[in-house]
Amino acid sequence: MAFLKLENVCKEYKSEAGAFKALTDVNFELENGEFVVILGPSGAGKTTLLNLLGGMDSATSGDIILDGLIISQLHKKELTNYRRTDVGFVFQFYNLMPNMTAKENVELATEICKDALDPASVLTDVGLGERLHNFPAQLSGGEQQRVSIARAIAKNPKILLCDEPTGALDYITGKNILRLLYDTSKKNNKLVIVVTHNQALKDMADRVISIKNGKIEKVYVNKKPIPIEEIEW
Amino acid sequence: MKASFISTLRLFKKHIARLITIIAIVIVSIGFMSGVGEVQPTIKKTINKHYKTYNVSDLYLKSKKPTGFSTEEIANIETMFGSENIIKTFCYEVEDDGKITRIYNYNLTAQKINKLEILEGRLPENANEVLVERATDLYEGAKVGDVISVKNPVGGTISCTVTGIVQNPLLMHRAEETSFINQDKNVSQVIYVSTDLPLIVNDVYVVFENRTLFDSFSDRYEERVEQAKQLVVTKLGDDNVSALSLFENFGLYSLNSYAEKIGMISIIFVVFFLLITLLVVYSTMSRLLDEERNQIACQKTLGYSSSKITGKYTFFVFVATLGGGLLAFGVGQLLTKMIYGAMCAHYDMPDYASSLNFGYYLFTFGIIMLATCLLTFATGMKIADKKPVTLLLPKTAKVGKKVLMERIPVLWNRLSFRYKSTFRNVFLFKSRFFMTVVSIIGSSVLLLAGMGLFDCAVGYKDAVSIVAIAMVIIVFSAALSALVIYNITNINVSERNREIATLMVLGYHEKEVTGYIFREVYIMAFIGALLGLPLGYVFLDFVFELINFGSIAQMNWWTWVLNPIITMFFTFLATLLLKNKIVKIDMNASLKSIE
Repeated sequence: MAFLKLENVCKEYKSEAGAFKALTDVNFELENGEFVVILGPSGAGKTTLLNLLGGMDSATSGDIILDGLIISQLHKKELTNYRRTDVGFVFQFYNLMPNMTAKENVELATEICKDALDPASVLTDVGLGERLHNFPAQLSGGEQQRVSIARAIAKNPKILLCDEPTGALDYITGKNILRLLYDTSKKNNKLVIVVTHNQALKDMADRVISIKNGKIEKVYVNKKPIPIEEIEW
Repeated sequence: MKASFISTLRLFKKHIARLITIIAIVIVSIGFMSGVGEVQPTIKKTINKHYKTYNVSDLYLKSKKPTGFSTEEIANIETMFGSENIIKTFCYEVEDDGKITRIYNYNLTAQKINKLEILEGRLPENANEVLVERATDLYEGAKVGDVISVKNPVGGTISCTVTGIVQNPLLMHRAEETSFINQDKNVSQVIYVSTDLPLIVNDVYVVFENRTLFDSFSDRYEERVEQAKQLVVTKLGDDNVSALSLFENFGLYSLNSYAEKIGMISIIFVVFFLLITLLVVYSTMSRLLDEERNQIACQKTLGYSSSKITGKYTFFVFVATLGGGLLAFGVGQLLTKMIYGAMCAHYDMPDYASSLNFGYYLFTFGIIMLATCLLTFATGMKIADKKPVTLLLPKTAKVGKKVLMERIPVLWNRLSFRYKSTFRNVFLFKSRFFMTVVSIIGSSVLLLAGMGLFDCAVGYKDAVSIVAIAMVIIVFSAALSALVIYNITNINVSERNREIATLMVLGYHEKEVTGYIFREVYIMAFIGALLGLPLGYVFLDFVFELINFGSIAQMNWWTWVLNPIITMFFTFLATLLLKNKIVKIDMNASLKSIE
């Protein structure tokens, strides 16, 4: 059985204006250790999909199964536990605690996990060994995103979800961050899923899922991913 | 025009909780300040009215001889004050069955000085008809139509019919009137017998020509009284006459001095309430402006002027203080009426007629509205004048700064990680910490002062009026305290929206998230509640000294324990009410964008 499996997943939002289908019959399977890119234009349903995978929202119908755990059937409290131990998030705007140092921001996540990694060594791994005691305001955007990645990695989760992780960064810094995420999937053997609208990134992924109007357009495997350094956009 | 209207509407909708809290704080504050502040002016007006309506005598000359004043002495008094300004009476007391009855003989039909208020019946028409002082807890009274026997000072008794029940304007206090024939006893009945010209004149009541001089025991009046007393004693001799003034009239003078004590208490508390209200409203607005940094930056880049942007926030505080101030009018009126009513338990005062004193109301309303609008506008301009780029960055404490505790490793290293971050959040933003703690200290000091006054006032039999005011202070400062703490907690939650969402995404459970936010509130409330005790001590000492009433030693020891417990209880209530606000925060909406 696949590490992550989605079966006929649908998500409907109801509002005063009527029902809106954000996702319709989503099916795919992913393996552990893969670097996956979810591509699609704005409003295609990428973020909705990521929210369902990350336990921040519940599917209307269908099943999401991660490593044998049926996430789509979890209740609110169980979803919190799922986010606590199994998911690492990386956001476009970092979402660090402004009054905590880099190390403390990572500790905030590891403190509540059972199999967490050592915050200081994870920060050193992402290249912030000298910046452990700096506050977010003292760090550049790229450094802040590294803290946020370290925070996700240090939890030692089953899955790493990244929503436009380079969206607020410059070209070079963005590439460095993508390298870091790619390496994480390989070195730590983690399933890393990156949501982006940047078509160029499809070439670096092990697997690409393209999504349009809430439906899966295609899912394919890259036999030979190209290193991020060689991709230009 | 339409867009700015919509954006103003959005601002109100977004911060509706804060709008309502400011309105409530202003109602409590102005309601208290005007309600308590107007008590003294209202009572003073009542005293003046009483003095004028009943033509209350300024001096009461009592002959020390059993035969009363001589014809010569009377002539002297008439020369001194004018014959039309005095009444000559014969007053004596008789003891019967251990009860003291006081009898006044004078021309009741003339009724020019110390006019008796006829509560029932009519004036006597012949020598066999009498008036009786109204029944109270202390006076027996009688019924119209009763036939009572009135003893002569020389021994005989005549039967008289009661034609009226009256109230003597000099006996407005509901306290014992000590007998002058038996110092151990109190007068239990007062009877007025009408005589054209009493045979003996032992009491003479004098009114001064100038009736405006009195002005509820003004300094000029006191001078005049002393002068007149001296004149009488010099002319008639110390051995023959004792001269008493309204300063010795227990009813009127004690009412006046209680009014003055209330006046002093009011001024202290009004100033205190005013300062706290200004601090709370201003800190609420400045924190709101900080939260709106991104919005302000956005409008700046769109080309709106700083004053136009700031105007919207100034309008917000204008509406809040205007609304609160208008609603406070009724609260203030009701409060004055209540305290006045409590004083009536000990004084026979005229019924409360809605006071026409609006001085305190207009003054406090004006100050609060003007000051908060100006301060909000100034703070808003300071923020709006910054570059949009600066505004888009989150406001953080000075980089690299450590809180004092971090410099004490023995202490700091012992704290768990969660407490470290809590302490840093509490102490890092100095002005926020200062404003929060000071407003908590302020409201708990007020509450402590109310409790302290109450403790002391219940010890005195006659301090009904101070008990009433202490109770009012307790209720209003407790309400203020609860609102201030709710407001602070609410702002804390709202400012931390994004951090709360981050904690939720990281998998923190509801209890852990609320704990993370509320721990800070509890620590600040605890610091405020504790610091409130020594500062409350100093404040109370000052209040007791100033009003010359009560002392710290007279207070119950448990008041000092109860006070911080109440503050912590309000904090608990606030966190209970705001728990849902945290739990309902939408993780996605708060994390997906900068704003």
